[in-house]
Amino acid sequence: MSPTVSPRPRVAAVLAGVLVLMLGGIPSTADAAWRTSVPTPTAALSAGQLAAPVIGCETRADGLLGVTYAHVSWPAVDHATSYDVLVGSTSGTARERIGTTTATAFEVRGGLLTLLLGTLLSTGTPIVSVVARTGEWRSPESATRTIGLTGVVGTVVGSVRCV
Amino acid sequence: MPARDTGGGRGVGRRLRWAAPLAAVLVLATGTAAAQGLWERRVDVAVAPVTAGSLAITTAWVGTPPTWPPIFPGETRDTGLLRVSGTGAGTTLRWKVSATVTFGDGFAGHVTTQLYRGACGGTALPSAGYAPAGGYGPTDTVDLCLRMTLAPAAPSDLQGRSLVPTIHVVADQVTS
Repeated sequence: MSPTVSPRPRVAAVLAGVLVLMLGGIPSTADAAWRTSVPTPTAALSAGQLAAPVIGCETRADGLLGVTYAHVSWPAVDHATSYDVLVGSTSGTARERIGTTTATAFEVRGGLLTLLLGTLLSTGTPIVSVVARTGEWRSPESATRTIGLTGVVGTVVGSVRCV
Repeated sequence: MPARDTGGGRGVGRRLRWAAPLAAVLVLATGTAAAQGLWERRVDVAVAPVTAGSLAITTAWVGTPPTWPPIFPGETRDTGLLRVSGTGAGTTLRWKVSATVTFGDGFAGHVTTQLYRGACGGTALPSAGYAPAGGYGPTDTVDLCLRMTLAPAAPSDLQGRSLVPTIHVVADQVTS
């Protein structure tokens, strides 16, 4: 009769082996590989910054009913892809965007100034400004230029002039 | 009351039977003591110092580092060549090169990078690293180049901030 071996020693041996592996007693190949790292800064690089447009304002008339409009223009801003034209009031910081253009000029006409904008402009002095844009980037707001409103705001007979 | 055996032939016999094993034990013990008494002489002999090899690299920009204008959304900047040189001690060690790039606060996720082996626009460096067949030798060199692109939708609050690009060049031992 062949001798029988209790399964307990075999189980214990397997458990012992697992414990040794878990505790890192036997290094794996990955553990044995050497590694070194060297951080290397590149030359200095900074993100750009859109400059605020420098705007001018000129009153022009289109000859129809003597209606005038404000021709606002500015030199191109480096890296700008478009410009937002804003109207607000000296009585607050709220601004209403009345147009976006890829050109470097914009005509502020009475017809663009909606009733809502009229409410905005009902106090203080109306002003116009421009912000340059590229992607999600926006430049600081340009210096404001004062405009005067005559006639009926929000209609084609409303006149705008630079002050 | 039973009579106590205080002598005679039967008592002597029992003592002899006990004495024999005792004597054997004593002899064995004495013999062990004798074995411990063998002479021993140990001599320490110094050998030449032996140190482990090392895996080491250095990095240096080739030529004059570029002077970059500020980067805007959608734009790309290429570094010059970054020369990676093995400087480890050893003759059999082989290694592969890989690299990662980090940026300053706020730019993570808004700058895409591509590393090249050699000039930018040439052979891309795999993210898992590269080594020629058999690996780079201890004193081999490899040139890397980094191309960075600022995402077109990068947020506006990144304007004017420094990207602080840093290339982390890694040499991993090649074991096969």
